[in-house]
Amino acid sequence: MKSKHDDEIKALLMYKQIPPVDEEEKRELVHKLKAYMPVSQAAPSKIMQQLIQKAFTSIYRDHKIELFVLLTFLLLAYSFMPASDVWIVIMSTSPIPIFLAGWHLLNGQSNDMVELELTYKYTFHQVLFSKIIAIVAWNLGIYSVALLYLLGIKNMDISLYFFHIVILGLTPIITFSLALLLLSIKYRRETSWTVVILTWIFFVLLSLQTPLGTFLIEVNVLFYVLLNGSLVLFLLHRLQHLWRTERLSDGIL
Amino acid sequence: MNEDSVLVRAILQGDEEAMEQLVYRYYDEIFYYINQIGAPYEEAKDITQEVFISMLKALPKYKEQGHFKAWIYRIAYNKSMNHFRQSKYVTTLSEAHEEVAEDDIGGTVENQSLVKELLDSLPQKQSSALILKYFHGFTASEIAKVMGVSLPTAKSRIFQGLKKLKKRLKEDEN
Repeated sequence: MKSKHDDEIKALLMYKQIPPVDEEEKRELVHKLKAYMPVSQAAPSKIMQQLIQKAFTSIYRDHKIELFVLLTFLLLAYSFMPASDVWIVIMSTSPIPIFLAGWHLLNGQSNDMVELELTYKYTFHQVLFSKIIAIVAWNLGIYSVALLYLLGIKNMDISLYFFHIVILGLTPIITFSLALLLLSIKYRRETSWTVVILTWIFFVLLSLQTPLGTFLIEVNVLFYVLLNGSLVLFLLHRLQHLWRTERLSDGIL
Repeated sequence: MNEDSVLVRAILQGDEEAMEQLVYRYYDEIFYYINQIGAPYEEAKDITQEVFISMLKALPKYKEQGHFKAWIYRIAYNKSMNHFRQSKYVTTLSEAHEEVAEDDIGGTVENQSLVKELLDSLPQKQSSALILKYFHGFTASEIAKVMGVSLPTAKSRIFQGLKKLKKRLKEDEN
């Protein structure tokens, strides 16, 4: 039941007295806010598409000779090597496009360059995202062409063995894509990529000279399927996170 | 689509006139609100400026759901609370209104001082909820959004605030 105080309190609380506001303050604020106006941008999906296209063509423009040489080398190797030994070539060469493009990516990412990129229309994270996608796409493209050629030249059946080889070759591609992404975000040092390449060369030599290679090929294909699946999920998660990372974080909400 | 969302979209496309309209639409009430919840006149001006700068920075991340007013008030509430925490000094409502009260004339003084005194006697969270409801016309669910609490908590703050005020008025009568 309403008491007589209810109306009294509400009437009192609804009593308004606006403190005088200086109009000059508002004009000054409007002038100041012009410096903070958002830059007009297209929809994220459109930006993503544009950036990936640009990164894709830029890799072709900068590395077409190296990529052509690599593809020719692979096709020649597949033509003359016995089918039973071809797996080591597939496994050891599959991540080469990533090494190549990764080298240039990390080389151009000194902290000064990142600072400069932060002032561009696109954020550093958006640019990095598109470059990583384009590098992986180029790598998978070359890998697919080489495998299709292998299928044709060696008259190999699409058997479990072939599937095993394909999955085995995908493992370093996904692993080094992830490594490139994490190194680009965290370290941005060219030397870190040199260490990665040297580690891979050492690993390949070890596989050739010791029973490690035979052991790797004998591991059940399900293991590689699960490993690659987990790595792809992690890579997608990191890429998604990278795209969402905003340039400015004022933490007001 | 309400007018705020039209202005927000225009601002996101870089329309400076829309930004000016939005500032003129909300400046007074945001400034008044910050002043009411305890910031002295000069500090309230600075905080209001910070609120609009933060609003503009965060605008690309703002998801339009027809609650722009509640959103900007929430920025104002958070900015004010941060300011109070940093300065480790919470001005009483009476102090905050002191400068304004000096300009009061005639019969308004009595009412105003009574309102200030009543709100001063409440915990800050309850007085903030009452200020939002009775001075700025927010509903309980909007108050919950502004203060970042659940709807029952917002309702409880309003209810408790009113209950204490009623008790206070009864005491004064006796």
